[in-house]
Amino acid sequence: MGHGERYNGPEPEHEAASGLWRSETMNLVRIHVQREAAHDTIQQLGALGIAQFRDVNAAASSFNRQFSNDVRRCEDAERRLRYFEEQMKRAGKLPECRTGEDQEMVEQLDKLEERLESLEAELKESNANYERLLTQRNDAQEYKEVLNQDRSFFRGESPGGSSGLLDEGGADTSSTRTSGLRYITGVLPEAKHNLFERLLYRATRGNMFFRVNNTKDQFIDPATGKEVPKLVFVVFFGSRRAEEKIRKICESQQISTYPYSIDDDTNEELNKITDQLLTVNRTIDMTEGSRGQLLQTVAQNIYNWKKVVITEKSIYNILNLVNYQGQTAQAECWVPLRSMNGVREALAQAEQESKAQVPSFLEIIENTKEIKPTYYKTNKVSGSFQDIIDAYGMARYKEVNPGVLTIVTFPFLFGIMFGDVGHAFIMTIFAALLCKFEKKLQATKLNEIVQMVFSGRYLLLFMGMFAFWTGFLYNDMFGIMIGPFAPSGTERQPSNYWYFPESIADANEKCDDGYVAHITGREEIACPLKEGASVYSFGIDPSWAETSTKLAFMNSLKMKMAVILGVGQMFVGECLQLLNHIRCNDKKSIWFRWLPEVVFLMFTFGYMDVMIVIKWLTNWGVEMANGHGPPLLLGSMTDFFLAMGAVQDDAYLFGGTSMQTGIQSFLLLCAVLSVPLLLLPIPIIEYRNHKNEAQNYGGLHEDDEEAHGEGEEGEAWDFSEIVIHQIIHTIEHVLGCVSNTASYLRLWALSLAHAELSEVFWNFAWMLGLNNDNGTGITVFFFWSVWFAVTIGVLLLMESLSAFLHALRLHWVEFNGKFYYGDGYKFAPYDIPDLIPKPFVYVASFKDQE
Amino acid sequence: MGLTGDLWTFNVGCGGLEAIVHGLANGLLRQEDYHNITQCDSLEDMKLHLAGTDYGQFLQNEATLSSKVITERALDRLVNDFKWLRANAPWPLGEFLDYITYEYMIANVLKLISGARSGKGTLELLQKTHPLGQFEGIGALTAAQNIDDLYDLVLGDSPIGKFFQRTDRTDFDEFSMEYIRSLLHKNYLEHFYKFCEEIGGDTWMVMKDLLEFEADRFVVTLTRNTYGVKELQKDERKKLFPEVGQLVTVHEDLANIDDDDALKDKLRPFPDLYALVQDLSMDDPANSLENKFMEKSVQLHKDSLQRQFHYGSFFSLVKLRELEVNNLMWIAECIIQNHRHRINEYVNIFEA
Repeated sequence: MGHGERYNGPEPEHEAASGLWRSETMNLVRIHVQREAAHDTIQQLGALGIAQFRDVNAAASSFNRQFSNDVRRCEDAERRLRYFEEQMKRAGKLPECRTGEDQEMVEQLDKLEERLESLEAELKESNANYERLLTQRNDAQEYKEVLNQDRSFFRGESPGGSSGLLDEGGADTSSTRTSGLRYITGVLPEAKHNLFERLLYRATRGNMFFRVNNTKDQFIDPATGKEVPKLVFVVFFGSRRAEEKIRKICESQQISTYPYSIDDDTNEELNKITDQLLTVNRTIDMTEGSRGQLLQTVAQNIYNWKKVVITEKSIYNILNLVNYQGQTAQAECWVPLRSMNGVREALAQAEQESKAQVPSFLEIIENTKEIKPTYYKTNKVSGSFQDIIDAYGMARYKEVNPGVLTIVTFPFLFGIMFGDVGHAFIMTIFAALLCKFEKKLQATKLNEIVQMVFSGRYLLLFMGMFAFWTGFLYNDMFGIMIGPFAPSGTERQPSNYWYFPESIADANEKCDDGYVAHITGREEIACPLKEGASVYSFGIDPSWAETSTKLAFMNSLKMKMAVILGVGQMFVGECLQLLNHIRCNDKKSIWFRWLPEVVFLMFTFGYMDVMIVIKWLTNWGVEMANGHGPPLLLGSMTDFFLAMGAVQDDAYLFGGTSMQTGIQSFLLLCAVLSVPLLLLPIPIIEYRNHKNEAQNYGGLHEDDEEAHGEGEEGEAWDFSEIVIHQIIHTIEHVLGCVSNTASYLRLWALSLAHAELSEVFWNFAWMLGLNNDNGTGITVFFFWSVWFAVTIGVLLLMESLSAFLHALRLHWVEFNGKFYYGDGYKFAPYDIPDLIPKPFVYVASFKDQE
Repeated sequence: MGLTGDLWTFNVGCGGLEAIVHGLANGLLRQEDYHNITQCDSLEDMKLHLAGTDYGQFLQNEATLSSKVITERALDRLVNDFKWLRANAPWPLGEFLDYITYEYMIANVLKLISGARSGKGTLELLQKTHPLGQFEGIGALTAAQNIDDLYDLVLGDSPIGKFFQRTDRTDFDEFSMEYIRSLLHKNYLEHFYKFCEEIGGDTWMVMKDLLEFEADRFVVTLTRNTYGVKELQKDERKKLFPEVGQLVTVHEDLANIDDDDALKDKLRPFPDLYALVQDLSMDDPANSLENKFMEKSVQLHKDSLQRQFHYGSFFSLVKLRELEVNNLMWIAECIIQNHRHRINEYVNIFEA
């Protein structure tokens, strides 16, 4: 079953179900344009996003292509833009994303390149200036800090202390020498304090005195633009040799030292440095201003520039896929049939705009051997359902798309598991709000999890609505049963079909006669009312609530329902498989794959469903009166398989023991026979076909056997592989029928869990508080909060997630497994608008960094 | 089973990191990548090709390309990967990774000192140091004026202080530098060897081979480089040989050797080493002993990456990646200088 089978009939322009039933018809189109018009043509097509280009020169390596130089130019422009972005982020500037055509957005790449280049140079120069000035300012500031220190600091005195490390001595010639001790002063970053002190200690073997003081000013590191705390230090030591070492260390650690004389007056120096600082600060302000203006210009335009560069780069990348011969260029692309006119228009327009002399034209390549891409034109509602299917596997070109049925079956199966009016109502309202404000929400950057929920909002809405509907079928609301359609004041109204007798006598009076015989002595059992009583009008009779048999009843009902739905959905899957075979005119698969599969499924588990329905429809009251009680279906099914279809102990369901035995034996025989029918014929047919082909072929074209071997056949034909594949498929199907049917029981299990959890929470988190309330309302408030929190957290969030996942699994494994190949590849058109970041996303990327 | 745990428990602490190491090892440039980049006509082409490998867009912010830029960015990538691994490593893997960096620290220390001797600026020198071999206060080395200073100032507190022993040499002449280099390397190998033995388990089994090979390689190279050096007494020469490896038994003999023939003779009992030295000739550079040792070590590192549940793969990854960076530098240089005929002399990591 490779991609080999191809449909050769006419391809319709529009498929059924708004074009979703099968993927869009694809054409392989070859476009011929004049060389000069190629750029415009690609741009026009890219703006529409309707064509997926194929690489015509796949053999050429990436740098041997026509336009790799232009791609490189674009990359260079991108690099410059990244530099601007980084500078803007550092300066805390946000880009202004003006959209609309009035902007200078239709800038040519050549011009833009020049502009970016000169801007980059300007900005770099301005930055270098700024950094230089900052360094100057830091130096001046550091010197000022040193000069500003209190005298006592340099004498090693403690601020209030009396005796200093140095005695007042006579003025020395060396500025860094007093009383026989030398000293060096300077400023170091706080982070290096420990390291520096340790190095000094090591270098002088401990013969030194080191002290630091905090600085008043702030220092900005010119390289990073961040603030760096710094310390003023002074170190005293004895020898000249040590001084040399210490200076070396300062140099290696990039710590600046400043001359300071303990005896000279520092005022003059201080004034000089203060003046210098003023000048530097003024220059810094000016530089900052001009740099700000420069960045402002960048901020105004950068989004549009980015657009141009991204667009041009993508165009050149596509142009690299095009084949050039002389004056013409040939491009090959996949185009959906419905977009053919768009392509023609784009060609015409590009031809006009580029003033090409040779008219552009396109040819459709028929009978291509290439596998066509799969494309569905979805809208925002169907898209979210299609995504579920695509996540499993892209449909093969033109195979039946399970996405259509999924729109209904997915939320329905979810609803079965999540059916509760109250919970579903909250969910529906939430999803509806998401849908209502979708425009607003789309224009904001959402948190990742919220974004995930948001993109599935229509899915969520449908799930909510279906769960609301099934909630009514179950008549469940927050775990308690409601009876909206019962006549008012109606506990155990005779209008109900079911009755819960309090005693045998009560039962004798009201219940259907057949049952009464069977309920000897057991209280609180439900029985059908005497004939003529009406049925509860919608869904499950709420009278079941508060009875001890509620759970048993619900289990039986939901379990049977789950199996019926499961076999039903699998049968639909088989029917879709039939449609695929019919379309490919694949008779072999219809008779020897589809037919045995359906027979096996329907004659066993399909029959079980029929029995369930028959048992439901039979009026057992009447039957029991005639001495025929209801058989256990479990036993019937066990006998069906183990006793060769025989009905034992007269436990027949319909038509009498012998008739049912006859029917069952026939069904079982068919089911058993369908297994070899599935296993054997296909390998045999394949084998014979291959043999015939080889004979015909060998006789006809003996000479060019090699060409054939490489071309059409491709892979070697391997009989054992086909046989093994068929064996696996057969086993998988036979076991799958059992396990998949059992798998649908998750519908029952999840539904049961949901109902039980809601009921437990209701009773223990809320009713318990209500009963114990002493009138103040505090307990009510507290317990209600607990109940509400648990309802939201466990039931609405966790339970819905688990129900969602189980519905997903049932669709992917049990349903899709019956027919879906899912080995196609997605149509990925060249779409320029899709490449360009949305304005709000772009602006947000600047905010994230901070 | 050692400190690292084995099949049962290794993955508890290091499984994720090991997986990443194997992933990174898979990203090493393959023969076809080398084939492609050696065909390039310009560094731009080379960049384009490397963009298709695990190097990705590592050059995207470079305005102009040079072999220096390519090498630096490639080295940055190695350093980033390594730092990431180091930051996530539990004990004792973290210590093991530190041991890998000590080798680069030793190289940096020697580079700085000899640079400072020849009067180069500290900043300029610091830029030339290997980024994996950085440690706090390394710059202060340039203030050292003799070997005692060297230890007092920086090495004493640094991670590689433990490899340094006081010697009777005190000056930084050229010979002492080589001597210090050898001494530090010897001690490094012995410490690392001992540390791996403490770790034990599969790590020990793999690292034992790798380190013993490194030690033997060091002994043979040192012996050859010191033929007839008068300053080095025979017994001092022996002191520089690490007490690790197959050759421990013949250290005494090797210390007395002064020519290749005697060397070959002494190595005869060690078939795998003898295979490397037997066709030795001084004239043919492509066939030099250095290249043969290199090829052999590449093979050992590749073998180590084939195994699981040990730390040796981290060591091997760093070594192979470093080789790869050197290869890129070589190829880039050949492209720039148009030395087409020599472009294929890079170290072949994966043979065709």
